[in-house]
Amino acid sequence: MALLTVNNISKRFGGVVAVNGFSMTVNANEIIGIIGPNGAGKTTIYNLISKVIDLDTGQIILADQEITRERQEKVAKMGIARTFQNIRLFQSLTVLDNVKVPCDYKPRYSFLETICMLPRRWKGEREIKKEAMECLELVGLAHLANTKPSNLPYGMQRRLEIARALALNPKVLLLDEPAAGLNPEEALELVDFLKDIKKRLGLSMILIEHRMDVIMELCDRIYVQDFGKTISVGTPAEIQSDPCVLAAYLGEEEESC
Amino acid sequence: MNESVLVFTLITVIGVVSIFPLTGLTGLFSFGQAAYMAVGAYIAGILAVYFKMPLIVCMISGVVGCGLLSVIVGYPTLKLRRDFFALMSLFLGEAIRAVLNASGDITGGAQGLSSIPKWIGLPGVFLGTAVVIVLVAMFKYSRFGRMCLAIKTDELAAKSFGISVFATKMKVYVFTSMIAGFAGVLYAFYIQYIDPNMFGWTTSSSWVIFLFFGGTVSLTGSVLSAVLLTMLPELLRFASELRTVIYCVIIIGVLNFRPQGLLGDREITDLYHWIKDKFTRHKLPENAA
Repeated sequence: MALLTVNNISKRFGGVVAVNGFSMTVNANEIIGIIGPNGAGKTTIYNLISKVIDLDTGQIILADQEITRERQEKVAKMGIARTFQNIRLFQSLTVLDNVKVPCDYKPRYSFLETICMLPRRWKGEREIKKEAMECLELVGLAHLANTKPSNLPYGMQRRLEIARALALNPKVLLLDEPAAGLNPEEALELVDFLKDIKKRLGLSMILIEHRMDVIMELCDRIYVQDFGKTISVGTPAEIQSDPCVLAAYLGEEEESC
Repeated sequence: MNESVLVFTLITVIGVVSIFPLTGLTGLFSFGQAAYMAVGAYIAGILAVYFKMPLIVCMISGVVGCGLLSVIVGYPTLKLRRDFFALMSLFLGEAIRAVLNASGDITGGAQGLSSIPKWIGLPGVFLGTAVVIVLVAMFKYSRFGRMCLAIKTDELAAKSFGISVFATKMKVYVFTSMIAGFAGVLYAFYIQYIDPNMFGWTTSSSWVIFLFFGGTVSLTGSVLSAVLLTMLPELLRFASELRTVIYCVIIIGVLNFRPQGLLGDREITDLYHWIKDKFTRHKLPENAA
């Protein structure tokens, strides 16, 4: 049984069809890659799955529950976490507080308990801190917990975004270009790190990425998008030898596509 | 320094602290917060003068009344964009003032409501202020405070981490309105006389200015700037006519050279961490950048 099923979703912005009948299944403990040239609608697919924008047609099912019409925050609570292409950390919060935020929606303690300083407040805060520190340790940022995100180098900000998404304790993690702006060494580290997380937490991931080395190394299956349409699906080996994909990327003369 | 100046300063501290969670943490500008102070003061005052209710009933009614009003006002307006909310709060402030002015039979109109019993002295006001500061500090360092800051920084990202923006804003709005109402209750029972024009938009917007002067995300800064800027006109008394000019120049000067406010995002509790950090300061790795 698939963990996440995306059925024929479409989105149109004015005259542009950003996503045209995209379908996908994600099984438990699987890493799926989505690749394609700029403007192929990859990020729009993420925005549709995480419900940042409403879809025109289609259906999304997460673990037997339909989430097509749910609100953004509800979908996040149900287990879809994401990172953003342009890093969107909470700059006014410390590194630790950034990771605490995803733990905050759970009603561990009520508003009255907060302002009246009742015991459940302190207990809840300790739990939240513990969970957040675990996530920071996972990405190796625990020693920087009290700094501001803007003081971190770019690669670490990317990691912090992943830590923040993990703190939501998701079923499916959507990563939007996690390797963008990283140097080759850092990209290799990222690959190892993501493999490690997959093994340890057993969660499914969807990866949008332009760097083929990262994609080919990590993904179990790859969807190739072009102009809103899926032009190919398969394992990394299959994708590498698919003439349609080569045509889309290198602009070769079309033959059979 | 006489007692009423001190009390007025403390009331202003409560006022500024009451917009701190709303404007400072959540980023919702309120230019009508003093209206809630008026509502609290009038409910408590009317109950005491006409119905001879005891202090505790007046106080609770004043605070709860503000809470109810803020639910009614907040429900439709907190779904709007921030700038529309700011406009609405301005209208709300002026509307309440107009209503109080017009319904002279009950509120005394522009002549104000007088002969309120003097039930609260300086110690009471002081205690009330301390309680409010502690409540708001507890709020800031809880999951609610973090959610507010997340919403202020990036509403879209906040939503994608499970935060329901509207519910959080609503809680903050009701909370802050009740604090402002509490300030009104204290004020009414100390001064014994209230009139609608004490609670106009100038009071509300001066609270916003004080907040920015102290540093928007610093509770310590808000308290400090409320104390400084309320006392400052008294200290500048020697300059007579030039008083307001000097006052404004000082505020503009500080905001020009420290746009993040006097204290930025620092709190008094950071002092302890700072001293500790002095000895065990760690740097970023050399090759990190």
